[in-house]
Amino acid sequence: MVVKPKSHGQLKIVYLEAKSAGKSILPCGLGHNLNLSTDHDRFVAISSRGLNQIESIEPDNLLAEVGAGLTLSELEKALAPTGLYWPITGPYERTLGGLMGQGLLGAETMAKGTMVDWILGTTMMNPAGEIVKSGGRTLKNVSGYDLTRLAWRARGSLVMNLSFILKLLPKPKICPVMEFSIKSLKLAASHMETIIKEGFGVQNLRLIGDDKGLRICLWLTGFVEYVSAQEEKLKSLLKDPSDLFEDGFEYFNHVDAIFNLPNEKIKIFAGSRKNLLETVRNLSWIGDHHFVVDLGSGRLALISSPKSSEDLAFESGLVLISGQVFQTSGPLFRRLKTAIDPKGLFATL
Amino acid sequence: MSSPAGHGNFSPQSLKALSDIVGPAFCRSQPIDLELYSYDSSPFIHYPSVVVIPGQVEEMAEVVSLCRRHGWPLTCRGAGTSLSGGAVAHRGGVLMSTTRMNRLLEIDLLEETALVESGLVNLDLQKALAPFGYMFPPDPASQKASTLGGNIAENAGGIKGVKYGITKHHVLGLELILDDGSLVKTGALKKGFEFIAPDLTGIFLASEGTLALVARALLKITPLPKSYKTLSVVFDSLLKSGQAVSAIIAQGIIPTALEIMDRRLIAALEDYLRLGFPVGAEAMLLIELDGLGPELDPQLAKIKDICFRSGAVSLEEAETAEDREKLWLARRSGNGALGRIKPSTIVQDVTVPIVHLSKMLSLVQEVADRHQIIIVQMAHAGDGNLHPHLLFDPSDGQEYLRCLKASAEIFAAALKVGGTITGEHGIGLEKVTFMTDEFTKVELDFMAAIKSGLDPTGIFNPDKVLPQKWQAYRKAKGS
Ligand SMILES: Cc1cc2nc3c(=O)[nH]c(=O)nc-3n(C[C@H](O)[C@H](O)[C@H](O)COP(=O)(O)OP(=O)(O)OC[C@H]3O[C@@H](n4cnc5c(N)ncnc54)[C@H](O)[C@@H]3O)c2cc1C
Repeated sequence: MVVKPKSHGQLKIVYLEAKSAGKSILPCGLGHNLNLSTDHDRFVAISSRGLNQIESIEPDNLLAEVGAGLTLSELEKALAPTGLYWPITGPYERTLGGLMGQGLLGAETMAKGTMVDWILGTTMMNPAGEIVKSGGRTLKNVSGYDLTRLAWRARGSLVMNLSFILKLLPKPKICPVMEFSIKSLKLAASHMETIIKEGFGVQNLRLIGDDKGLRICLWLTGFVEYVSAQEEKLKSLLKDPSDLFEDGFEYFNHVDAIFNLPNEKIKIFAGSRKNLLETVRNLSWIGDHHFVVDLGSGRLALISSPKSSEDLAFESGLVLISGQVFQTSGPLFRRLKTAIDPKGLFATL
Repeated sequence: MSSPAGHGNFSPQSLKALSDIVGPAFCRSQPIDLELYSYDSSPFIHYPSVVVIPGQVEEMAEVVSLCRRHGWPLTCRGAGTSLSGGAVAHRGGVLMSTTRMNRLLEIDLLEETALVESGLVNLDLQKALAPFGYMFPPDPASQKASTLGGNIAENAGGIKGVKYGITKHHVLGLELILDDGSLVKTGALKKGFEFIAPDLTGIFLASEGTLALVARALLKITPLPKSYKTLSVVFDSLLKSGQAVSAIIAQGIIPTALEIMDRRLIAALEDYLRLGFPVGAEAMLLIELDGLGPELDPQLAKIKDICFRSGAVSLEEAETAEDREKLWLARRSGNGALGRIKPSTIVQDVTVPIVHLSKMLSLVQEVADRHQIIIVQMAHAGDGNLHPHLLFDPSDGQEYLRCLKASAEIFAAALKVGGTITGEHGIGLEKVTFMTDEFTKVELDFMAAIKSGLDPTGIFNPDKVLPQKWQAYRKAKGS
């Protein structure tokens, strides 16, 4: 069952109902990453989608307060007239609460960090159905424990986010993506290494292999003068770009779709930059398949691989992350979970 | 201010057990040692029973597990530059200094990371990174002394915070010692597995050594900027300088640093460093931009325009790297220079939404006048983070009390405009009674649940962060 409360009051009622029915609660957004087909009697999925209000947008404070059920596309639309943006780009039709639980890094992650770095405060509901606030409207706050990060990548297992206070930035004047065709995987790996070590300050750096061939793609944002100077330097390193796309946000959303394909179509691996580049250098057969190596988030997405995931993970030293069971067995998590949610109200899938 | 609670109350057997772990030279309990470690940079003085200085992570872990077995309070200490009493052993017991845990284990330019031990001094990391063209952006004014473990435990900010953020934005993973002495890794130290497990790194940032000890940290490093533009701008009122800061941010310009200094500080710095500062000016704003040369000029022009429109009297651009260094040396020397006015200081740290900055600066001045004390104002203004320095003479108990009352009023004023009582210095002992002003009972219960889950016997840094009623501490057994 998925319920969609529209207010904190309604949410509390659902909590109480679930408790009295002896069911656990699974906070969710639009449910993209949920598999409710199994075991669905055990819990009630509560979608935060109904909590999609925009409380305030405060350009003078460079912040916005919004409901956890708001989607990235709704947020972007609301911010457009202000000239500000939230520097986290990802799957547009996902809720902020859902992305927080999944741990969205954002397409600009090499320069801008992760989603949680751009959250100043949050309002949550704890397992007792009580409101807990953490952080706030200030850029810095070290008062008490930082609870804003509790829900990060926790898949709804510790708290349910109701709203967020987001830190905003002026939208960059220009944000082009440059693509460079590359002859071989080995050359690609060595260029990518150089781009990082030369300190180009790119927002993201990817290697894409598909029907259009092998290309390095990198994203620059900022003032016109800055981006032009970077472009010149890159051209002298990699020769003429095969393509230059004006809007990096649009481009990355398009390419990012690959990371959101269903698990049966795609294998996603994670690892260090070194691991990823070694994989590109050494496993030459990868070049025969569609793939994206995203150095920003430390992931490799591979479509229709002939090898088993286990073989690939073994050969590359990467960790298979798609379709894996979420690991909640670590001692740290177990201790926190028992402390915060002793009766196990929030489901751990 | 003083309580020699734990002084000398450890039995010879207990001391031997500790000394067996760290070695006799690094287990100290002579009165002079206890005296040396009885204070940090706050006015609080509390004596530990014994000081241990482990040299290896395994030694740290063994000490923790011994403390847990015996119920001994354990306070971890980096360089002791805490301004909120975070590093003093309030209930005596074991004080663990991390100064020997100061190894830089790895700089990886491809991953853009540095793996460090927690006792490494912030500036030593910066010096090691600079030849590679990198920096660790958090740069607290205490960076010459403060350790990365202390920076993590306090979630320290710094002068570059406006553009680069604070410590938590640059910590990718931690190796922690839990209360039972076990070691756990979080975040990127899990090497890929962090994607399929909860990332609990965040809860330890700003936890002030009350939940676990930081043994090692994986830090994100950032390419050094290619060029800088630095301005000093003089105003005839503090209020106007605050308004200029709010206007710059509202225009969507994000400088690297935006620092305010008031009249008294300018005069004290000039007296101390002789840099040619405009003695008599009411306020000075230090502004820095960094990046690639061509992008800086248009921003600089905008900033100059905003400053003049906000009432700047004069404006000077640092022409050389030396001029620039001088300005930042001055800013970092603020605390020291004030010693020329009065011997002691309480440094406050309230932070407000940026639109309320100038209002808050004026309000602090009113509080000073009302209580007849000297409050010198400096601020990481671009972050809305004020550092009112309340000056007092320790031999004048009445003056100290007036400073405490003034601090309470400053906290209340910050909370009223949606701010916080601490932006970067932490709760420590100093602000612990004010936690109930900032948080509800439910919120404090929630934090206490976290504390008792990770430190059920309350050995880690007792009495800090959470008010008495929410402490898990069981009476120490001494030994
Ligand atoms: C002159 C001066 C200027 C300052 N400027 C700034 C500034 O610009 N920005 C800012 O944010 N702060 C500033 N501070 C405050 C202080 O320097 C910081 O809080 C700093 O991070 C403390 O580091 P430390 O090594 O001295 O830690 P300590 O003072 O020794 O300890 C601070 C806290 O961290 C805990 N701790 C230390 N090491 C560990 C560890 N390994 N594991 C777990 N817990 C640990 C301690 O228990 C304590 O609670 C300043 C202080 C002074 C005196």
